[in-house]
Amino acid sequence: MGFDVGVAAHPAVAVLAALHAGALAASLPPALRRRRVGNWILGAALAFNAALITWNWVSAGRPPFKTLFETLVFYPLCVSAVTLVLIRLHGLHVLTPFSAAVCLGGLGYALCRPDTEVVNLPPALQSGWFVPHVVTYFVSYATLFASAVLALIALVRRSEAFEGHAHGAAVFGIATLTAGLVMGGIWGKYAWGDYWSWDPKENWALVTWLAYLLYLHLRLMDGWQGRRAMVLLVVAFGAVVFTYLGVHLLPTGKESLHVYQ
Amino acid sequence: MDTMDRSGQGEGCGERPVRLSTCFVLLGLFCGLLLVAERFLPGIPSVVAASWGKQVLAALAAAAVATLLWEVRRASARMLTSLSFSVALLALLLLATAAGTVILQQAAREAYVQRHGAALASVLLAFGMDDLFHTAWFTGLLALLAASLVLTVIERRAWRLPLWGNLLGHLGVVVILAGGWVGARYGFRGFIDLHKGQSVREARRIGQQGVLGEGVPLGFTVLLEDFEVDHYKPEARFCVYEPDGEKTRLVRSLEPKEAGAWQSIGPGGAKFRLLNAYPDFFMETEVLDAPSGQGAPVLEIEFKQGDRTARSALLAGVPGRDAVALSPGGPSARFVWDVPSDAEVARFPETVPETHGVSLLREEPGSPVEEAAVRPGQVLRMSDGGCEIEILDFLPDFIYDAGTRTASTRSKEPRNPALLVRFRDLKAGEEGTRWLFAKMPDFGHGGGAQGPRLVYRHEPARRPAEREILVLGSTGEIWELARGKVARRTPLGQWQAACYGLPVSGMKVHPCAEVRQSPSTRSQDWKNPVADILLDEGGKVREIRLEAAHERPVGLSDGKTFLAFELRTDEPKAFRSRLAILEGGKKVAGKTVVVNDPLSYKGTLFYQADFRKEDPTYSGIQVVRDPGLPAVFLGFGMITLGVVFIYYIRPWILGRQNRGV
Repeated sequence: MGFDVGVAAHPAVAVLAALHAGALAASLPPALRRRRVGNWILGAALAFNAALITWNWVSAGRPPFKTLFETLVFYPLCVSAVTLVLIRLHGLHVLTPFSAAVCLGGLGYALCRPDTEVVNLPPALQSGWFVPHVVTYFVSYATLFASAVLALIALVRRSEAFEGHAHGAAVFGIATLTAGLVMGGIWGKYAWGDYWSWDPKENWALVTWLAYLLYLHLRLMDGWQGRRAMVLLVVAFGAVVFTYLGVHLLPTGKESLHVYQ
Repeated sequence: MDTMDRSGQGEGCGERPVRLSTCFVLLGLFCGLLLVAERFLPGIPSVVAASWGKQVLAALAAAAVATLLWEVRRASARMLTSLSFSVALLALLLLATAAGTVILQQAAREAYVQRHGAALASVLLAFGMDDLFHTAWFTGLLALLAASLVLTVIERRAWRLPLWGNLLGHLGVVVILAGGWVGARYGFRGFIDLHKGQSVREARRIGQQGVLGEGVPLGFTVLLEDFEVDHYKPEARFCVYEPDGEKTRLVRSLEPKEAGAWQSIGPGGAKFRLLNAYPDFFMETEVLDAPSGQGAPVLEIEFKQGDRTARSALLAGVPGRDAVALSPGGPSARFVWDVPSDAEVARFPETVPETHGVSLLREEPGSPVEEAAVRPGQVLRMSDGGCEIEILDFLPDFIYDAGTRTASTRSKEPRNPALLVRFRDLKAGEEGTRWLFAKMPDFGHGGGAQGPRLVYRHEPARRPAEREILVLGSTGEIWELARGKVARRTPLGQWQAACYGLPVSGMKVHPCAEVRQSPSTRSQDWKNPVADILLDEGGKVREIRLEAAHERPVGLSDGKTFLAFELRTDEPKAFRSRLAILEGGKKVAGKTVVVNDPLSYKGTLFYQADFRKEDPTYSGIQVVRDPGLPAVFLGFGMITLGVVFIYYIRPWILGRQNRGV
């Protein structure tokens, strides 16, 4: 509906989306792939994204992580950062088009449903835990996305090397997921008096954590290594997506304080 | 990088591994037994009070179960420490947690019937799915989880250094569960309603669904010394509403400073630009002396309140413009030129009666608004005869009883004035009846066709002031009237408004002047935002004044796009309660509590939980005692550290050991 409205209202986000489109396009043809052009453009997108978040933070006078739109502009920062780190550590260039695509998709969605204004931060979000909790979770989500992509590639290419990479990424994602979950509990105790209240968003965060714990334990059982474990990683990432974007669709999601309205 | 040596899968030689399906079946039976025990055998504790025969039977049954469990202790332990069991347990907990987000929790029975139909609702309620996180079977699963984790740690001898990660991670979960159980069993969650200066010695227990129960003594006194709400600064914004399918939604929100350049709105290429914005709008009055014959007698009154000056201009003999109240509820001043007769003086002051006004807004934007003063029982024609409106009834304090579907009035005070109108669109042949509300101009209540857009304005009756002041232009005198008689005459220059506590700083008679009114702002604070804009629709440019207080947006010719100028105010920024704890009448603790920063005293935490917009002295404080909290926080640290140890520290240790060898 309002894609053009979104672009007009948030030109910087449109530029960021264009950069990711460029990174995607540049990581497909073999000639450009060899020269790693896509990675360079992804790096430019990362730098631009960081500048944009900084600018949003300063002009809003608060961390820009409250609304769905604001987080949709933040998560590509985490995805591109994680991707570039994995490329640096393990040469996983194959991630670039997938990361660029998911960033482009999220930013495109954001431009269709932009915030009409910078809303003020309600008292409950004025806490030192706000930034660490959100950032840790989004770094985790980005890493788990990478693990799902690597698992998919491992399945397609039947590659044990990629299985190893997928597991490595998943482990980091699970460690940060655990930290994010714990931070949320501690913050909840200081804000609302409860570290856990069986709130739908909290429950789906728990479902996600349990899904990955299932992965960690199942892969130790006979017959659950290799391909089955990779399938688990791909399926478990579905829980991540639902936790981030889908909880408001639930009948219980309407009453949750935690859900983006 | 694997942590365990697959010993979960049949640890000794010759032992069959525990099957996953077996684990699911046994866990299912376990949950089923607990469900039956909880739902259908509520009287189990009463066996203690039963006759000696029943008690003997119960003891024998317990002994039989214990013996059975002891005999299979090896098998039980093997089952509980197997990977299959942990996987089955994790899977069941995952499914149950997800189910608790799909099925409404702690809702009324009718909600389930409405959602799922009577049959399924009965099944769900029988299984406790309306509050599944607190059922015996869910709690039982968590208890089994804790037991299996403890046994696993013991069986693996996870206190050995390479397995510290396992120890921390697994025992961490146990510690969290234990802390959670202690908190649920021995903890307390309560609520206190406090007003400024009020103190209490107990908190009301928060029960299911947030319902407050009986008061529980705290053992000390809690006093609310002060309560403050900080609000974000009010601001005004241009809000653009555009069609979204069948609906209209807010698509753009602009600060006034952003609207200086042309801004396009709507799908049809329309645009607008801000000419002038007045944060605290008022019409500034200027009285200018005019040459003879080109003006009229004007009385200029200057009001001063604090550092604010306002000016009023009264025109002698012009009804509605010849008098003004000198202070709220105080005497009014009326300007006359010629000296009035005694009979005329006796008629002052007048009661201003209650007035009702109805405005008809037409679809075409920019078309003039038709206004008429009306009375109940009147029929009037508007819109060049195209629309007939009959005023049926008036209620000063409207209230609607949904049960009996009747409207009535709560009182005689005009707190919620409502006018019942029957409208007839003579061209379209539509007819309908509707309630119009003076305080809610956009809300119409009633059946039938929507009809034309009507706005109802209500002015309450003004009682006559005890005193009225007449200012005589021709003689330059002030006559003070009391109950229709002249009480005192004073020359204008000698009359001291200050003696009467009136905020009048000057009065001047202009025998021949003209009055000019120009828009101005009292201050830069957004209190009464008004914006003058230029609206360009396909080349047709018009100047429009948008007033936030009137809440009437300008609509474009497509009928679906609207531009409004809105005031954002009353947005809470922070709540601060200054709490004090008193014991024996002495203050022993105190803190300014804000959201995210509670007060802690003797293991009890006091949280800023609620406020009431209409009562700025009220503060809602949540009281929490959780003896299990230290364990929960310890467990949080343990599981985080455990994961890091298993996947990062242990491989590093093993790597160093290998290199050492």
